[in-house]
Amino acid sequence: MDIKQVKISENIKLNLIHTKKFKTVTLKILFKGKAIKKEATALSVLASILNESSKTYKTLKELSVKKEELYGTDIDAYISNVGRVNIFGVRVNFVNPKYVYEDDCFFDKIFSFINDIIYNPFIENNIFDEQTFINVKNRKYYSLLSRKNEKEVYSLEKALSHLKTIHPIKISSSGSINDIKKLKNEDVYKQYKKIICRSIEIYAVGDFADERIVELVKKYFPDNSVNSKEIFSEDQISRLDYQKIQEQRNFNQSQLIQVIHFPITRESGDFFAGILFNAIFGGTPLSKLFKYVREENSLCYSISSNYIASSGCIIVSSGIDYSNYKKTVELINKQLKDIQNGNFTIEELELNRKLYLSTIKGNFDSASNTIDFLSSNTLYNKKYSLDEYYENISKVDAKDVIKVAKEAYIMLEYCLKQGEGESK
Amino acid sequence: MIKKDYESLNENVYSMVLSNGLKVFVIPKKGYTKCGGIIATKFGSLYSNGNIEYKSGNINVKPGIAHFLEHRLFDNKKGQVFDLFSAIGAISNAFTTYDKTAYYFLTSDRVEENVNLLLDFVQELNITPQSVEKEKNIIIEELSMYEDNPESRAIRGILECMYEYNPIKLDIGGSPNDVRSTTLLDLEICHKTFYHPSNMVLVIVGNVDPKSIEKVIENNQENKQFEKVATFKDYDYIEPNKVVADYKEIEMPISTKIVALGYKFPKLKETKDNFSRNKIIIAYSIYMNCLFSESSELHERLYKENIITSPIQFLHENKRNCNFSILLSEVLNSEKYKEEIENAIAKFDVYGNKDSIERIKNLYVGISLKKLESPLDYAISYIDGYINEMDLLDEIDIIKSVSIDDIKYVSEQFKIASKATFIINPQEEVQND
Repeated sequence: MDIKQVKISENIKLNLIHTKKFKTVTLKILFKGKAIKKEATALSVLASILNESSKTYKTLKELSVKKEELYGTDIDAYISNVGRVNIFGVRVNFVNPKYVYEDDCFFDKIFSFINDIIYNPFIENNIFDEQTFINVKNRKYYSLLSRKNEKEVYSLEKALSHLKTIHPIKISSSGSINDIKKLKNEDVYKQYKKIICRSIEIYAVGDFADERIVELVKKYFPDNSVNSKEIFSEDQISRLDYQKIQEQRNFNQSQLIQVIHFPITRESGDFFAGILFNAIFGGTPLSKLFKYVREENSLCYSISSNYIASSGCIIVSSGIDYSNYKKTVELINKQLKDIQNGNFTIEELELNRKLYLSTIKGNFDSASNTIDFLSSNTLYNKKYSLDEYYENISKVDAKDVIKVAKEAYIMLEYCLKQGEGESK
Repeated sequence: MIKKDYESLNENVYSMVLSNGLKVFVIPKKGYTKCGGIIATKFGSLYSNGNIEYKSGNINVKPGIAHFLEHRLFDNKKGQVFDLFSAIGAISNAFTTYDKTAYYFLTSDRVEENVNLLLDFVQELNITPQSVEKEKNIIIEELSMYEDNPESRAIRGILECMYEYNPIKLDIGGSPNDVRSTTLLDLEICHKTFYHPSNMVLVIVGNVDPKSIEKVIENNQENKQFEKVATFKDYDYIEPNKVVADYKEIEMPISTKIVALGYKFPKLKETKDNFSRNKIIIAYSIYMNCLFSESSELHERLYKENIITSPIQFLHENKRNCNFSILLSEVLNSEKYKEEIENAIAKFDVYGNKDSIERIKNLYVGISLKKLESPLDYAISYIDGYINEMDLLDEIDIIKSVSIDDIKYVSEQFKIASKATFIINPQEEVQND
């Protein structure tokens, strides 16, 4: 795989990853800024408006017809928050023209379409087309409401909302139901103007002539950006007093969430020990949570821990029957204590290390994961190449894992109890 | 191995059938870091509601047993399968569908060891009465998880409305009672019957040398003995063409009403070969895309008039004696929604939609190409094609061959289909923080 960086202008950086192994071409266009809670809903609606209309293709129908004509080209504006960084991204995936007997002009058609969606939105008199805005706002309202339907998503958002701190981890990139009701067309337009003035990172993966992509980026991406200071994502969440929260809804199964304070960020030298600690604890099917809570005690089907390095915390999530609640919590706590006391085997460490390295390597067989791996480096002050990942993960020993494990402290235990009489 | 070239796609497939009946496909992919391997048995949830003749009598194949076996095979006598794969640098997992159970690995090196491990753990059942009992609660919690998922609940609900006998109406994992009553003997007999190599297919995709893979597989299978106890036989039943219940509603803790519409079709018309059969199946998807997707006039109207709040999801299945389509959406006005859908089906003009049909064929060509990207997705799509008697690499030719007459046939089928509606209403909740 050949990775090339091209500076198109002061604020547009293009990364070309040339490979013959894919039959499609994948692009990601990233506009990065600061994550701000009160802007989240407007940004989320903005992404949906761009996904539904442009000045050329005024309705979702017209836009969808165009995508179908271009062999099911996916163009999707999305929002993602990583720590204190907000990413307004556009994902594009299209078939390589040589497999559908199209000539080289196909690339031009795609880039022109992308340009239309990002830079030629359906705007009249400094606001988005009112009907489009109303439709999108309405649909967003219902989609935010339906987040309640997904027990896992609902529980996580609810658990985080109980943390007594102001922190970007509490910002949902989908926005909030309270803000959507108050949202005005002007608010969304204001966000749009800000987004297109952000600096741009573009990633392209596939089998193409590099110079052709450079030429198309120059042609279709204007540099509107106002020079801004680079923002990095790390924002350590504060250690809070222990809280236990329970609520009840009429689901068949209860959902347990634990938020663990884990002040091991990417900047700290212990980052790689943090990765392996989480893997041994609950990050993989080889972990202690999977083995002891699920396999040995049959308490659940789903259980995992997720290490969020940008915020310095770990989140444990499990679907259980409420009659097993106490036993599950005791067992999770025991697994944590066991690692803190060094009660894990070298085999557990080695197997998880191998699994992690294998997963990292495998990312490069997916265009999207390749981009995510490369672009994640730009989110942090501390950069690591693939070789450095390998080297650092290989160096972690049991003592390092014990040291970081001792930093883990469960600060919130949340349980969404199943409905009365639902116990199996 | 026999080599088949697909020039326009720049793909080669090597295949062989071993003397024990195991089918093998190897697809070399230069440049890939990883190699994906998958083995599947034609044993999914549709293989219940039948029995296996075994020594002393008939063994009833309980619902959910294919899925139960999938869980138990991960406990091998050499250790936990996840651990064994990880020790040789791979991740592994498995899944059960209506028509198959599949096990896979994804590795960056030691491919030969991975292939051996995949074959060994799948072909050997290591269970005790205690291990069977221990697994039951894990599976029951998995079923509970799906029961709380409105989408999977809606699909099961509409299938229960549509089918009287066909096991498509059952949850892939069975019911909690089916799980509780599963015995060690049930699992053993099903393993012997369905995991016989003649019922299985292995696909390897990655940067591999087909010759060396061939040797590994042959050596692995050479010394193994397989006892095929019997074959599976469906109970004698005649599934009526009509749905069982044309309307049913339930409540769940959701925010917006979910409406599932089911269309039950008679068995697919006889075709001269698999290519023609698969062409008709793809025509169902193209037809539904034309009528119900975001590029359709109907969707635009329903969306603008605030009748639906989410895109209409549509799916068509044609598997073992069942042939049906489902539409699923979050809906604010279910009566109007149904009326609009029915009108669109009744008034569909094939000839007036010629351009749309050609455009949607383009879309499906793109979707087909996208299946050939990562080694594991490729292997999964290939095996899925095989189980459904379709060569994945012929799919683009099949799509291109779909004619206006094929779409017309599908359109007629929708007009005469037996229909059902399943609605999930939001339940009033009193929340206790």
